[in-house]
Amino acid sequence: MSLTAAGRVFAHAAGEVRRQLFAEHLMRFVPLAAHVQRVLEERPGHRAPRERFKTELEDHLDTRDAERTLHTLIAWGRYGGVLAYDDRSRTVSRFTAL
Amino acid sequence: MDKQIIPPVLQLEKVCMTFATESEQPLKVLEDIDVTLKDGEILGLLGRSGSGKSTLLRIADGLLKPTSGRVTYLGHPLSGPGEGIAMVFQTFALFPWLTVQQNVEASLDALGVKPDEAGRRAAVAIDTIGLKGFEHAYPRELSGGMRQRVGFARATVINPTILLMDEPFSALDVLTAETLRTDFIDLWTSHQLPTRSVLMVTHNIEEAVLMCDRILVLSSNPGRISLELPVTRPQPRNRLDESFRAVVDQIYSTLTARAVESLRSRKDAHGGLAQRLPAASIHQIEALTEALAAPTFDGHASVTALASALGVRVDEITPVAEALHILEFGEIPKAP
Repeated sequence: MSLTAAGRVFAHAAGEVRRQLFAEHLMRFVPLAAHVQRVLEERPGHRAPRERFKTELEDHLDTRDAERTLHTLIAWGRYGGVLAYDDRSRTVSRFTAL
Repeated sequence: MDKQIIPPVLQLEKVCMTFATESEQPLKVLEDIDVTLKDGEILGLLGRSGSGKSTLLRIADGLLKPTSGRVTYLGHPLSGPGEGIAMVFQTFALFPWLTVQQNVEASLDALGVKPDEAGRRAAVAIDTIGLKGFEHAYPRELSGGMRQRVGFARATVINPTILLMDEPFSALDVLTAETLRTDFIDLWTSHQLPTRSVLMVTHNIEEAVLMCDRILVLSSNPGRISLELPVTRPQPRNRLDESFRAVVDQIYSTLTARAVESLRSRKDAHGGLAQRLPAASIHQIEALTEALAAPTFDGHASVTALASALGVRVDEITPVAEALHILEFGEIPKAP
């Protein structure tokens, strides 16, 4: 396998630059990330229960794939600064800078 | 001898397996599985978790009846757990209250073999597998590797025609697993085992290439046979051989390329909600891109080279490579 031009930049970048590049690619190439963000924008308080997305994904994926996909999306989204997640209330919310 | 006239030891034809679930949709685990286990071969079933490998093995054992399809053993329909088929389990499945000797004899008791003959045969099996001196030990006194040796002795003592193995080395540490694999292959190639054919389930590509004469790759959801690969290298095989690495690489590339094809085809369906995301952490994504960008590779590397550079198994790279592909940080060539 090989790196794309963006992959090379990502590998050599650090900190905030790397994070921003990741966020850009996440929003552009993972339709689910854009979908989650759209849902959060529309909802009052910009938050939604994790279960809401899980149920939606389960219409198209089996339970295990849906769980894994959501787990990965939350991890990627948190890193990219596009969403926040509270594990105690199991709530996904829009990322807000402190 | 003309190989054509020997019937296959085990044959699965158009086997399907569906389980009922709480929701209305039944779960299809296996679809249209055709497997022919030939005389004298070690056949590997390679697949990720959830590909129905273990279910397939239980059907081959006669423990599970398929929803549809035919299973024949030495040319006759298989109707239940047969005398000529033995299984080695991932988790050993020993009786903790019995000694090594008694655990091995238990298989023979179940077949109605007389106690003195059972004792004699168990002693031979224990000796062959390298457990001499441990006859009176209890499983809790043994290491994982020794316990699995008991598992092998218990399976081979009944002189099975077919040995079924369900990830037999995956619960062991790396070194113990390798020793046991090597010992098994030594016994197999020197014809010290009474068994004619072996069907082994594994998720470990290198293990399959190390041990098997032929590999069937199972795809997931539902399990289907997506690829058949002969491994013609003579035994014993060396992991460090260039030709060994080439076979591993070829299987890996095919699997990853196929996974990527399926990702590609699902990406745009249902507004992106049908796209599966792999279990790859940010840390792993960073490690893989950095390894690829390192001067030694300069942006291009085979997955086996990457795995050894990162000190991980080749199959651990798959989800991370998929992640790079999805995020368009990496490119994986199309499946041949």
